Amino acid sequence: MKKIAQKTLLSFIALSAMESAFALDSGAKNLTATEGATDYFKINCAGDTDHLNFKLFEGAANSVVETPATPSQLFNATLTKLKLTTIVSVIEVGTNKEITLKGGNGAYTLALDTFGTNLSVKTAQTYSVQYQCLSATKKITAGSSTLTKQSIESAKKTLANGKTAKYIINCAKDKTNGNTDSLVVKLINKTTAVAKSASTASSALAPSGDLTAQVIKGAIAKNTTGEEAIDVQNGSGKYDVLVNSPTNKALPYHFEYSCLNTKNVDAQTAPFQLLQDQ
Amino acid sequence: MKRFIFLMLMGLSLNVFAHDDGGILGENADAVDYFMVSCSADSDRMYFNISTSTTKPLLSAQVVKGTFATNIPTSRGGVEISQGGGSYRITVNKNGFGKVGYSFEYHCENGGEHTETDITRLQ
Repeated sequence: MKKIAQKTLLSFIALSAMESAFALDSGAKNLTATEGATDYFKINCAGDTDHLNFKLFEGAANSVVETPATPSQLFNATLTKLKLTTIVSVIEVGTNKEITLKGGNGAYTLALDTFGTNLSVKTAQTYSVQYQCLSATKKITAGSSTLTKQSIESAKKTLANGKTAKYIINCAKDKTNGNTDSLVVKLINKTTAVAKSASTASSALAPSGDLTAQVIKGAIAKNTTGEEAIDVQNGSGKYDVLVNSPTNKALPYHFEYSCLNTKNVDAQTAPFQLLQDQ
Repeated sequence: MKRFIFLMLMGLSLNVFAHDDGGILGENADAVDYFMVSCSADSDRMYFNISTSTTKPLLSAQVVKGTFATNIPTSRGGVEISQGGGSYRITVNKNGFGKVGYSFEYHCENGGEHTETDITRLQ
């Protein structure tokens, strides 16, 4: 029985650690006992945000520990055609690289993977791709793919860590510029580094009902006492967060927040803006 | 009798200026009722007072305008919020599980005069 309890506790701790790995933390905050006291924040969610996930924690934060920036997220690309292969590795966040394969006319396979990324990072990566089929004199020949049209950057794609994405790119003879000699693919890693500036080791208490928070965007509003995380679903843009006490108590607290897309992966969460501190 | 008629008339006359609304918050602790009160441009503040006959869970309202926000638990009584004309957002919620019925009074004002007041229920 004791072992089961220990295992449950360990799982809970592991799960909590995993969750906090991609949520931003407000750091230690204090609400005063002033009548009507309300702390007022704005959280800007960008990208393909579907909803804001918000969790309120009552109680003193023991310490705020500065942690290093999120470890590198990277992806690798492999271009193959029959027995020919070219590999380019380590396309880091915010960078781009080109990969070339001299394979003539025909179908090329572009494979993308995330090998080398820190496995504790759960945020999916975003990227785009651009390609050109070129003749021996570097003139554009005929090229096509379901991914995007030749020479045009594709729409933003996502790749979850540990997954592989594959695309076919066809190169053919062009009436003016002749046969294809090589395929050049440009890979642009558009993943936003998750800037978790501080992680708060908290002696979070069970919610007493003395602290409440409201998350509002447009015509949608939700309330929480911190029992569990709430999701407010109203797309990208600014979410208002109010923190107050129905009993006018002075209370320490902190909160975690994350802008998530429809797949529940981080979209683009910017650090909050403080509008009122009471 | 005259006094009774006078009080009746007083009541009727006060009702001309009264703006009241209310609702019932559902069981869930995350329930929020959400209103928008529009005060005409000549207003200098909004008066707000919320009440309930329920003692538990505790009921509160928040009034937000621009970068200003205040919390109004039922224990606070009537509050004058001097944030001028425009839209005041009002959220009503509670600190735990359980249905709560409530009513509130609101007026846009300028000095001692009532100004044009409209309300829209958003949620």
